[in-house]
Amino acid sequence: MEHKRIKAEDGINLTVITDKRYKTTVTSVSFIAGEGERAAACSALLTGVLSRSCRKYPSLIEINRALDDLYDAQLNADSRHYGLSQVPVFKISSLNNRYSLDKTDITGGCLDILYSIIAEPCLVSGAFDEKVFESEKQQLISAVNSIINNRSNYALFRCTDELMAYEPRFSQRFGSLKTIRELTPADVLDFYYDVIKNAPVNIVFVSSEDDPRIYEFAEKTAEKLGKRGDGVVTGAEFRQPGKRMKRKIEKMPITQDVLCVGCALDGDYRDGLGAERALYGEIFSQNPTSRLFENVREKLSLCYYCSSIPLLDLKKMIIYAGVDGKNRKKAEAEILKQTELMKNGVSADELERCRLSLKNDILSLCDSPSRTAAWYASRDLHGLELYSPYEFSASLDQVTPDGVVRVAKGITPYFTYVLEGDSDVEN
Amino acid sequence: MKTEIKEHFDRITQEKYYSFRHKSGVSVLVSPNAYSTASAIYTSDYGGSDVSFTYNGKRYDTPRGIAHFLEHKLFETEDGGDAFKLFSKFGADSNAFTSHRATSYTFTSTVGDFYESLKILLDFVHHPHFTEASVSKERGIIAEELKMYDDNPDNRCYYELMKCLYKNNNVRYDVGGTLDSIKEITPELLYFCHRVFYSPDNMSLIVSGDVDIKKITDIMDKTVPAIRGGRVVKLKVTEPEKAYKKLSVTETEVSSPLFGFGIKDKMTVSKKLTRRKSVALSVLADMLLGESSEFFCKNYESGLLTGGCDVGYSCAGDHAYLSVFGESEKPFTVKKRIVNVLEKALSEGIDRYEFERCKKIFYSNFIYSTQNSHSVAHTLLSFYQSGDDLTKYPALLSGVNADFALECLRELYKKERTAFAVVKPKNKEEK
Repeated sequence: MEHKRIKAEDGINLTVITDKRYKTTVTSVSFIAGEGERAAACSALLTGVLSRSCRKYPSLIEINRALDDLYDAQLNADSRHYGLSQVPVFKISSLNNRYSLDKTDITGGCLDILYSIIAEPCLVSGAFDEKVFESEKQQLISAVNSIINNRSNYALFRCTDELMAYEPRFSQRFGSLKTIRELTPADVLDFYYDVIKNAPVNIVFVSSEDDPRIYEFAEKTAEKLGKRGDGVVTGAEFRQPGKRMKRKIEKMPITQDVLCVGCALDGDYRDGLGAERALYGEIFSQNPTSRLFENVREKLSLCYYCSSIPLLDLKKMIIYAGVDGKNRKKAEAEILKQTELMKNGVSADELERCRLSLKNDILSLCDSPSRTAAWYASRDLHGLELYSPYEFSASLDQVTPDGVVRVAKGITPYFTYVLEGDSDVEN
Repeated sequence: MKTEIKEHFDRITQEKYYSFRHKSGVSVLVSPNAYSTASAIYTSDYGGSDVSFTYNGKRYDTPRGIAHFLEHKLFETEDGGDAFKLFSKFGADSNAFTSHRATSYTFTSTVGDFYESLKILLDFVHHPHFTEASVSKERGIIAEELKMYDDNPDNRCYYELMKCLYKNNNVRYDVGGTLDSIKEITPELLYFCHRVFYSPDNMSLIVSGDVDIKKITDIMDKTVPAIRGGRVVKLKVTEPEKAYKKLSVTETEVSSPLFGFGIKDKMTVSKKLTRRKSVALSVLADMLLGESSEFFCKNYESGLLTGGCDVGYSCAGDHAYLSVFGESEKPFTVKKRIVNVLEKALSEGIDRYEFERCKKIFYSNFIYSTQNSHSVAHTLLSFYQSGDDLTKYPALLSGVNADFALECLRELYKKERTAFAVVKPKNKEEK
């Protein structure tokens, strides 16, 4: 695998990664588009509206069929949030040209569509089509409402809301229903012009070979969008929690409770502890030999899943498990105990096992163009030194048990959120 | 006896694999490739649907969920440890999964550590260790897993549709069993079912990666037990041609109604015809109802459909059906429109160019499914389980045409074979 970064003066960065083994090509374009709830709602609506049509393909059916003609190229436009920043991402994945059966230029066609989606929106008398806009608004409202359909995701969503309630600049990725409902086509068009004029842009291209058309694409995009400043996503400040655990319980007629333990996490992407933190996650919860899996699930038989996710941009971590109501207190006590025990040290054996497991996972990542693109995009968006997954893998060798303990000591549980099942529900 | 190794190769995609039967009776498929990791899947032909069978001539009816219970319990080793720990010494990522027709154990590791991990895989699957205490403990974990799926509205919608389509086929039941049925599972039953279904001649090994076949067979020679299983016959159920129930409406905590529309298909005797039909109906279903269809785009734009639509034709051993799953505030209106699309296609015919365009989607999906060692292994397993050759898929796809697909749809679509399942919020009716 080879990578190169072209840091352009115009604020549009291009990273190109090539590996001869790749059968597919991924191109992603990310904009760092502001903070807060309004930006989140605008960003979510904008990605929906733009991916529905463009000047060349003015309707959903035309765009979808054009993508099918390019051997089912996949266009994904969605809005993500990194810490406090909202990031609309436009991504297209397709087969490499060598798999074309009829000499279709798949890569060229995909780059044309991606450019058109971003830079040539379908406007009616200088505005977004009212019908398309309203339809996307309804789709977005449904997407926000449907978060409850996945119980553990919903619990994580609600727990994050509660953990970040003190920070007015924080927003979940879609914004609130109220804000979405209030937005007009003109609001989102203004947001679009602001994004393409000012937002820092990162382009990532992953393919089997260094294709000259990606440079043409970057140049054309830069020409159209114009100069802008460089920038990176904004993380939340670390906030020291109080000494007492806080608690919130919400009810839903489900058979299994979802327990979330929210923690403050003292650290960030630039503290030089990336490898230590990755190993902490593996030893604590990500691996089938992890502390949580072995104790909460295997020894005490309290749950089917028990894991944790770091929200490093928010300086938080959430531990979550699906448990029977009658076992909830026991599970919570064990999770807190295991979180504390991590501060006392990790064995050389578990460190070594988890190091190998992570290295294996990183190798798998390198086999996937899509995961590789996400790796480099994230490093770009955080303004981190551009190193390859292989280099990160090598850095894991330097991690000592003390380094993992250092990460563990920066993690403080302080909030419990429970999505509580209704006891009347029959199993 | 010399092992006969057969090479399978597709000229268009350059996909290649080798197949042979190991002397123990295990069927082996190896796909050589240059990915950074290597994967193996060891599968017993014993799944959640196999509750009734004869073994050496005697009939057995077992509680639901044993195959899945075994999947959980086999990881436990005799010394009280578990196979996860053994794999983790080599950094291998191990897992297992149970379907209605089979149970699989898998790992992905670096190419260098592949052979050590393979020894672990082939060993632990053949060395069960169950006690009353450990079975009781696992019951608690599995109960939580079942509850998790029960709380999942998509899962509920899928099984509600299966319960409508099928009267007797076990595909209508959750692979993992029920909270009651798992209470009946004992160490003795687990040992018995392991003996019946985990003999080498009932197993397959799929390997993908930069590996050496000779080394694999050497490890198999030393690890796979030289035992022949008894005579097992899975008891087939008879299934009426028409759907068992036309409609199911379930209420749960869900944002807006989810729906599943299905058409139950008759199984075809000829395997070759089944393969062609399966490919043709998959393409046609996508063309008529998938994301580039007029049906989807119009109904998405109008807001009738929320999000995507999951359309497909599924054919797995003893059952086959066409299905459409999605989300809509007006599921019954969607159902009417699905039926209209199908009936219009049958009365007016279909566009041949559109059909050829949709074939590109399936060709692309095939290439995507061979993008890393893990997905190659899973794709190979899926083809193997259907009795198909992965390398023949591109030619098979290329060979189906619109006329044949329409003929298949004509045979499939009968009103009495259709069913509809809705999972909706409480007290919410379609206006």
